[in-house]
Amino acid sequence: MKTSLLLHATALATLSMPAFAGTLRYAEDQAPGIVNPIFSTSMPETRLNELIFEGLYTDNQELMSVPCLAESAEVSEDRTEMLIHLRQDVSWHDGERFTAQDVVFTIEAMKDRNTLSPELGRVSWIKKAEIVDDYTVKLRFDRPEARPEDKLLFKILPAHGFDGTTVKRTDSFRNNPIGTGPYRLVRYNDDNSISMERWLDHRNPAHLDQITMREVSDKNYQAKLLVYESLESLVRVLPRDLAVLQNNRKVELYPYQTNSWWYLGFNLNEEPYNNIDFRRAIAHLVDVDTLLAPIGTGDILTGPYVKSSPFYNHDVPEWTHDPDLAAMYLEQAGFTMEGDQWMDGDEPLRITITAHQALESSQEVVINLQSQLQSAGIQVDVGFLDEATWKARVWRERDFELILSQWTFDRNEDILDQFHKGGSRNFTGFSNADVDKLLELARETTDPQEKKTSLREAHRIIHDELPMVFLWTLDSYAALSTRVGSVVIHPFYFFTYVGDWTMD
Amino acid sequence: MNAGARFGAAVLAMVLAGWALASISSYDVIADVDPSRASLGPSLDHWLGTDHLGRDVAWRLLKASQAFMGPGLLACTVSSLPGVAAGALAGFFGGPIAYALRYLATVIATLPRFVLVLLAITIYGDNMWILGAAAGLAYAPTLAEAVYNRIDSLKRDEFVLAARAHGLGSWRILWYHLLWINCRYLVGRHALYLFSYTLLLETTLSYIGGFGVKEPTPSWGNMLAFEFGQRDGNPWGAWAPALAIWLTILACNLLANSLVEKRRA
Amino acid sequence: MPTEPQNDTTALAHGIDSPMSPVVATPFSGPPELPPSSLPLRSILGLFLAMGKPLVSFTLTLLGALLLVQLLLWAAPGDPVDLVPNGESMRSALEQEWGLDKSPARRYWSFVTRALRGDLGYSLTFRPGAQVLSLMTPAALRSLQVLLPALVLVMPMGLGLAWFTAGHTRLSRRPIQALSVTPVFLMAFMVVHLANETTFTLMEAGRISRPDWFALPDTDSWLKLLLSILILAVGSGSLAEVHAACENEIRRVRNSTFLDAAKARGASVWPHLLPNLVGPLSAVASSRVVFLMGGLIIVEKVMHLNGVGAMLWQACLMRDYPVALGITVLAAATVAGTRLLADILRVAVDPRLREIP
Repeated sequence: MKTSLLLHATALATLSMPAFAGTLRYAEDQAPGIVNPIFSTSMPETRLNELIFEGLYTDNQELMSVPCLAESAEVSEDRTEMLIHLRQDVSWHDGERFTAQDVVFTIEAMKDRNTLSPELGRVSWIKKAEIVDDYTVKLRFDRPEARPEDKLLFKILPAHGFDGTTVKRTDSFRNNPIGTGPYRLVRYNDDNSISMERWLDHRNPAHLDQITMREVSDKNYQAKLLVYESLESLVRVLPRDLAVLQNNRKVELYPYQTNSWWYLGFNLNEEPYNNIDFRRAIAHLVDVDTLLAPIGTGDILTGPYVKSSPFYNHDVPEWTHDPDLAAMYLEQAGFTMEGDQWMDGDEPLRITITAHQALESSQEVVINLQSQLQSAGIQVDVGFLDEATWKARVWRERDFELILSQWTFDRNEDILDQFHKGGSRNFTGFSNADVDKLLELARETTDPQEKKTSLREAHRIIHDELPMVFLWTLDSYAALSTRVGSVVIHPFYFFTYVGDWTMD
Repeated sequence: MNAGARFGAAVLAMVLAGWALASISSYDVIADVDPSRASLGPSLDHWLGTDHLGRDVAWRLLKASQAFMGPGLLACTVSSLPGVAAGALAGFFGGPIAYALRYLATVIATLPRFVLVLLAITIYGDNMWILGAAAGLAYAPTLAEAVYNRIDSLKRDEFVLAARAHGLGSWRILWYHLLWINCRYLVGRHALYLFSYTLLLETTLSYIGGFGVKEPTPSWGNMLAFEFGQRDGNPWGAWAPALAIWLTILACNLLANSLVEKRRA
Repeated sequence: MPTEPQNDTTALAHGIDSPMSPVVATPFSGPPELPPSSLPLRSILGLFLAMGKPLVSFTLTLLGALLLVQLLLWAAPGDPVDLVPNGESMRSALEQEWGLDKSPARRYWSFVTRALRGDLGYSLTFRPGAQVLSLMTPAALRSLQVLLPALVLVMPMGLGLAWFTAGHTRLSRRPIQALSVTPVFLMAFMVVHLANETTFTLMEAGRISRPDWFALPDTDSWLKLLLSILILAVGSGSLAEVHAACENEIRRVRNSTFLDAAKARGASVWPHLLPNLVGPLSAVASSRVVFLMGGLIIVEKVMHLNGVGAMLWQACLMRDYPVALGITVLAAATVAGTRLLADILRVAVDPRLREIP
């Protein structure tokens, strides 16, 4: 880590001056913990990696996979092998040439059991990666793959940056990350910002000279800073700032559709959440429109896909807001009404809703929901957890009753981890043999029509079985200064098309 | 009591009354949500207006006193009992007991109070009772030192010798004559400082977020954070808690100062 | 009945005397005695011995503080590995790193020896894989930029104000107290909000051009640093406490008989006044460091200063124990170190403390 001893002077020189032509400053809630795609666990890290590293394939503006570090590829008849021809005009930020060794190294490092990569799932479907020659790689898969190029978006790391295939977070690579992307990391600044410069030896150099990631943990301040022209870009605009920014002549809003949806999940291993009548009652009690209105606009959903997804089943009806029907279900579930209050035996019926405190607007939603349910006669306790406690209680211990949360998916929208019996992110404990079969089929099939049909059927079953009440997708907006032009935003990675962005 | 002390006492009495009122009232922070009446200004229905979720600011202000009252009192207890005892014993008996206790106090005092509190909350869980206990522990050395100095300098005084000559036992001399008669204002003063410090801690943590009191439970700190940045909002939503914090801490300090003066008179 | 009113704020200001050094807060008892006529060797020996006591107490208190921190951590309910978010996946590495299989005494000892070598471990969740020491060092330097000036500022401010108000009634303390009592976060919030909004309105109206410190507290600038220092020095009761302590000391010394004696002899007051103030004031300064360090955490957080205080907060939030412990060790060492310095200064200035009994 290069740290300047003249901290103050450096900071003054680079950051307090107004942006000269070509510097894009964007804000993140939290600075990346580590710049190494193998260990990425947060969206700020993912977005930063998009600037510095590249993968074999990338998305074009229609969100289809196109070759990036690869030049062309052939897939075998039985679709279990792929021969990839790599570009020969690529070099790393330190000048070394990019070769097949780097590709094979990356895949083996991610698969290496001692690396403990959280991104292991991205390569676990590759059985073996072989170097054929300097610019050719052969991949062998466990199963036939319909579209392997959709899964080859992960970033490639330089083999010469590491010793051996066991990669550790403590490796010195973290101090000087090297990629092949349009920007190279110049400096970790002492104020937690990261300075990047465009790399002129890239085969397709970007237009913007410099990009700086700034950590602005106070969400209240992010929009203010954009208005004050201390930043050029906000990745996600808080709903309450939308009105202000819309009226601002110097700021442009860019809507984008992320594949992310909010949900209210039940812990199916706890009483009374294992009782479907109780869950139905809750589904009929929640007034989703009223919950959504204060925090923004979006689509109300009935299943685990966004409305524009090919897998969304439009025939599945929404749960109606029907207190009388809910009351009937509650009685069926064995609860009795005493005055205004639902009783669980002798005790008032009490439920607990847990949410991640960093989830924007979750406070408003949970408080509102609490109020709704309370007026319907159910006591609600509320808990907002910080990241560490969330990981411990929800991810590991499954110690919760209801959770309000959000899932974000990339283009593949693979929900297996969330809904398959053995899924690593199946917090609700959902287990349905039909859904398992459908999800497995969808993963294995090479026929897009069959995939659509099975996933739509899965949508229907999941809706009926009600492991969670699906809420909505929120319309997301990015905000950029009007000085930035030719802006196209990738809904997940954000900076995929940054090479085209310009600035006056 | 001078004017400052009277003002301080009045403010604290109001806070106490507000706390009592909030404790017995049936105001429900949860049920009060009503986005249709968000960000209204002061009116007869809502004396300080409503916040951006439609909740009554005045009632939340009162309810928020529950967030620090309990922990504050706990802190004072946790600090006074061991702190006073340690200081008194060390001061009165001296010798190796004094060395040991003073060493312990020095060690605790080597960690800045806020660091100790932050560590305690991180390790033992983020609730305000842990905060109160940790604040009390962190403050105990200061209190012990003050008591120690007082008792140490008084124990050689004539009235103590006279008491002994009368046949009074050591313990009675210590607990009644030295501590009660001579130290109670001292302890009272420190208790007030500690109480205001706990309020400071709680509101700071709740304001910055991550730790502290979480929604929907109101705290003057999180009310401030929640309403800050609300354009076209009700300014009282943010100013009322800010004023409340400032006034209460000031009141504690003014009252504490007057305890010094009383002793001097 | 006690004759001389015991001065509690003096005691408060002195903080905790190191247990080995003589109690300083005794009621004043007369002019300084001349050292016994002696060989220079005796006074050098006395000086040496007098220095030794603070050093020993420094070492012992630092070790004690480290023990306290270790106890806090290990006394927590449950398995320490569980405290770390991804703990399970790193269980074997963590167990080895923290020596969980060894006895508590050995664990503590290895913690101390490794800390002395500068090995504070690796960050787990905050900056995974980074060395704690190399994370802390630049952040500590940044913090120093605010902490030292604040300390240097608050002493003369308090002293100057106290000199002025010591002769007046109690009333003069009020405005200082009213201002200083404001919590640091509140002060920072109001100052920043006011500065930003006013400037922005003026900018939009075309009255002024964009100042290079805009916007607070985002961009690093002289103004941000200055405001941070001022807020740290004044807020959360800091200035009020220093002012009160100084006022008490000044009153005490001004009213003392030896000054009257000096004046009666026609000698200048200052050579007698100042040395008698240095001792108590250096104690005030060293105890002030402790309190300022607490306030520093908040100032850094609210003013986006990215020093060790903000790092500690973030580490605690993310349950990154190596980083949190490393910073705590730094804090304890700094506090013990300033106490040591204050003790040495006292000994250097006050001949009475150098006597060999």
